[in-house]
Amino acid sequence: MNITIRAAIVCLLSISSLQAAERRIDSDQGFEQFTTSKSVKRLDIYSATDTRAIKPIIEAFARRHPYIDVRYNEYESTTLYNGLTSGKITGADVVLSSAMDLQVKLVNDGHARTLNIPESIDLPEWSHWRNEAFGFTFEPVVIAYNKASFKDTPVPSSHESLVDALRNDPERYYEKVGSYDIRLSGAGYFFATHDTVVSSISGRILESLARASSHTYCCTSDMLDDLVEGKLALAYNVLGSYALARARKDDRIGVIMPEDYTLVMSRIALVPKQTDNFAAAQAFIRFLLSKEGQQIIASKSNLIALRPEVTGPSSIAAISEKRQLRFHPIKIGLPVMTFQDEMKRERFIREWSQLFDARAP
Amino acid sequence: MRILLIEDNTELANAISEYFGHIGHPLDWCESAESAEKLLAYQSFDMLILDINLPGKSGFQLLKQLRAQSDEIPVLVLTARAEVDDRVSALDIGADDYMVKPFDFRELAARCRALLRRERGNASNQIVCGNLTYDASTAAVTLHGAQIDLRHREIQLLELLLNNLDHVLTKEQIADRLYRFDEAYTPNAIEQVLTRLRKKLAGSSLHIKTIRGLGYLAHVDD
Amino acid sequence: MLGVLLVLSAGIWQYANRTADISYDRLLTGSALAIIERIRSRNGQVEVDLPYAALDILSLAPDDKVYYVVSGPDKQYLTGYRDFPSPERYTPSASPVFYNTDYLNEPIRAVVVSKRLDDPGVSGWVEVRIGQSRNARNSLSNEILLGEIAVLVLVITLALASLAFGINRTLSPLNQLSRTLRERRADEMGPLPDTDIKEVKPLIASIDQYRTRLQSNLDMMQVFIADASHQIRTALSSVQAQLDMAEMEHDKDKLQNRLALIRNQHRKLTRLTSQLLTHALVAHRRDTNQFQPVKLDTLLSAILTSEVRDHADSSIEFNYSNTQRDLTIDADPVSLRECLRNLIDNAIKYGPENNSITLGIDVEAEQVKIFVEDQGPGIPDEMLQRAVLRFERIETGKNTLGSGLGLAIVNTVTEAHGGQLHLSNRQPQGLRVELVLPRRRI
Repeated sequence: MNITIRAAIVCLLSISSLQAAERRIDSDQGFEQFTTSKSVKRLDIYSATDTRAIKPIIEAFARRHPYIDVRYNEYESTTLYNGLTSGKITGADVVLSSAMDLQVKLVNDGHARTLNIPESIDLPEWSHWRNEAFGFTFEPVVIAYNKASFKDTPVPSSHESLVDALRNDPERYYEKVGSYDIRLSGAGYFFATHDTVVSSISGRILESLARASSHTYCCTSDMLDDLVEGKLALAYNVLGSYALARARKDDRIGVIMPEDYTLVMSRIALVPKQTDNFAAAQAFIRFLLSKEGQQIIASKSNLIALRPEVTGPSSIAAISEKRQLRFHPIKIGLPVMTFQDEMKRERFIREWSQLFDARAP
Repeated sequence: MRILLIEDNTELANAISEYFGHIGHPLDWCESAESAEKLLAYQSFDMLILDINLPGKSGFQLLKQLRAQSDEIPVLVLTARAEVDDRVSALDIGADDYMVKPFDFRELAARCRALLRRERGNASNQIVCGNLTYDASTAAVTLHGAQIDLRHREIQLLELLLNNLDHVLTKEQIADRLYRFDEAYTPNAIEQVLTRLRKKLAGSSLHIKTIRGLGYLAHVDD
Repeated sequence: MLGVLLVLSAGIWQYANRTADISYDRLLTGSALAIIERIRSRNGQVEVDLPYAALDILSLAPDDKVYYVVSGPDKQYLTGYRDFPSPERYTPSASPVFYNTDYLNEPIRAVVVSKRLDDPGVSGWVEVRIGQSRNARNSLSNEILLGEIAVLVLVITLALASLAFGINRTLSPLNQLSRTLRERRADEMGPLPDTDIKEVKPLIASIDQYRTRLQSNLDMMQVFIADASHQIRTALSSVQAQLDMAEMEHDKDKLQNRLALIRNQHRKLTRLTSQLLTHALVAHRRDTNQFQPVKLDTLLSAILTSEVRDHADSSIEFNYSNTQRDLTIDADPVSLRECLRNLIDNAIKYGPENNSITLGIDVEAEQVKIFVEDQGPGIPDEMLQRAVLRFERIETGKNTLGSGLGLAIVNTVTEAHGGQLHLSNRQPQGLRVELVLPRRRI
């Protein structure tokens, strides 16, 4: 087995025994196991989405298709990508990942199969490419903040006002801002690079963040933890789904969707060429995109459903709260590959590092 | 002597049968080429009288088929068609003689005899032409049963003519047979032999006609 | 018409492909130039900063995949798809060069463009190759193709429709004419109604002429049929009468007499029937032109042979006169045979018992004379001309079998061969009938 798999979690689900599915058998090898059943077909889902978020939808699918034995394998997104392209991962029937650029590259390099998604499944134009890659969530990139830190002053509501605030009120923000370490996080890199595409002040944002000696993190959850504890006043470019979910449970945290533009990314599902269970894989993706599947996402998971017509705590309608927001969805397609260019990546990271390595110790 | 008549017109067939029976040549009769094929398969005949216009397979087809099987049985074709072409094509595909309806029964009988005579001449030594008989093995010629004395060349000429009944022989063809290379002969010599032969055979059924400019033709009239 | 459509479609197919290629090649060039512009040297290293626009431009072909590779001087790999193929022969140049290739099992349209770098420490050609799958090109070219073919089919349909309309209009006088002809009774013989259309006038004149000729033939045929039926009926009634009387006859000798009379009448009928059919045959063959090369010697000697055989028991003398044994003419052998047999039969019939009959030919420069001579009574000079005419009995005072049909057959055959019939009396007695035929086919 590939030792580099950091968090391989094999989830073997079966609808016939939901109770049993709840029974966890924890093991030291770091994977969780649900019970299994003898089924006619198998469906192996390889995913870079955390298990808790995706579980309700997989269970619903399994209920609907009792004869499909669904197994869920969680990977880190780069490991998943490398495993699929190098041939080290075989047997994947569905690949789910939030790394849009890597998923698109899989499609461009011929690793995905064309799916037949019925016309009745009405998807936003930007959310799919070539009938091979399909976005299934709607995930704004947001600013999260510690409410206590902003009792006496308004929270910056746009990129512009964030830059101004960092510049005008350096004491307040010094070492109190968190953002992704783009060297550690694919998502962080993706958000930072797309700021440069959308905004003319992206350079200034990075510069201000570096000057404020902001902390850099691997993950949204860590930043949220530090926000709760008051170690951070504000976290920039965090995953909206996680931040909103946390804010729903913990009122010390607030979430801002920047008014000038709010980047929106989407988790992408695709069926790799190597699949042996194409029909089941296609059925799963249809389910994921169907109104029923989307409704489950909106009501039972922490992820935010892609399709605007569904309702529930994590629907687009709920997170917008009737505000006029400038969502800027990143279109699934060729251009997202731009920042996967080796030289481009190297250069961007070099410039980023120069800024952030120069922070005061 | 067995003759098979293939004719679909019952009245005509009956009349021919009756006539041939009357003159001492009873014949077999069938109505179609198909039944003729069956008869020919297990019985042997010396001659066919074959009507062309038959129901089903035509007389032409039967004739063509026989010749394709190398069956050399003499065939006299009867045709009622106005198309004179029939005469030509009948001979082309191997009929030995033809008659166009309506015809004279006496003529039909004579033609049949001529065909049978030719056939029999090939098979045996004796040729009978009405009241005249020639035996090739003994070179004996009888007329009305009485032997006639013929000279060597006269016999040669007679044999030649009998073997080519109804066909024209040119003077050169006759000379080639009658005289050796080294024998001088005058054209008149053949005339002289012929004149003697005619005189000796006077009153016989054999007519020897001279066609000036063409040659000689012998015909038996019986 | 289908062929034309196919050829045009092939042309359009090419045009559609070229158009689609031109459109999307522009995008490719734009993208390649955007990339090459971003190649710089930095501290002696060549660097490229892939512009977002490069792939953004190409996503105008929304379903196509894109592959690219950038290389520095000496083909040193910089970034992109390392093994993306080059064109077969390529000399670095600033102007884009397009090529078709395959990559990752897909047909690819690609462009290569180069740029000369002459910076301190770095000098040489840098190169960008970028390729795109063909989905958008194919669908654009199909769209163009289908559009153009639809137009083409429309144009052709319109052209055919107007052609059909035009032809219909042009031919309407002919339709009028054919209606007139169809509605006419068979025996209605007056000229057709005149027409105003110049082009149709000669046609109407020709049809009128043809009808006139047809009518005269029909008239002749009517006389012929009337005469033939008269003769046949007469012979049949005579046979009937003799049969009735034979039935009542008890005296054996007288019965034999009756039978002889019946046989005589029957023979006459047989001959008449045979002649009628032969006449019909030669008339038919005349109308259908059955000419072929005929070697006269073969034909004539065969005719004579069969005549001699048929009359071997008579004392008639037959002669053959032909000094041109190899002469071949263009003729209808079947009718010619019938014609000559008739002439010989006539000579036998009308001649004395010891007749001498000669069949022969005289060859002259422009014509061939086939003749039959006999030593019969001949024909009175004043009747020679009339004798040629169909159905005219020749009054010779001698009561013989036969009809005038024989000469009618002869006449028809002569006419069919573009020849002439000459009758002349011989000295001291006898008739010479000559078929004078032109040596060349008419």
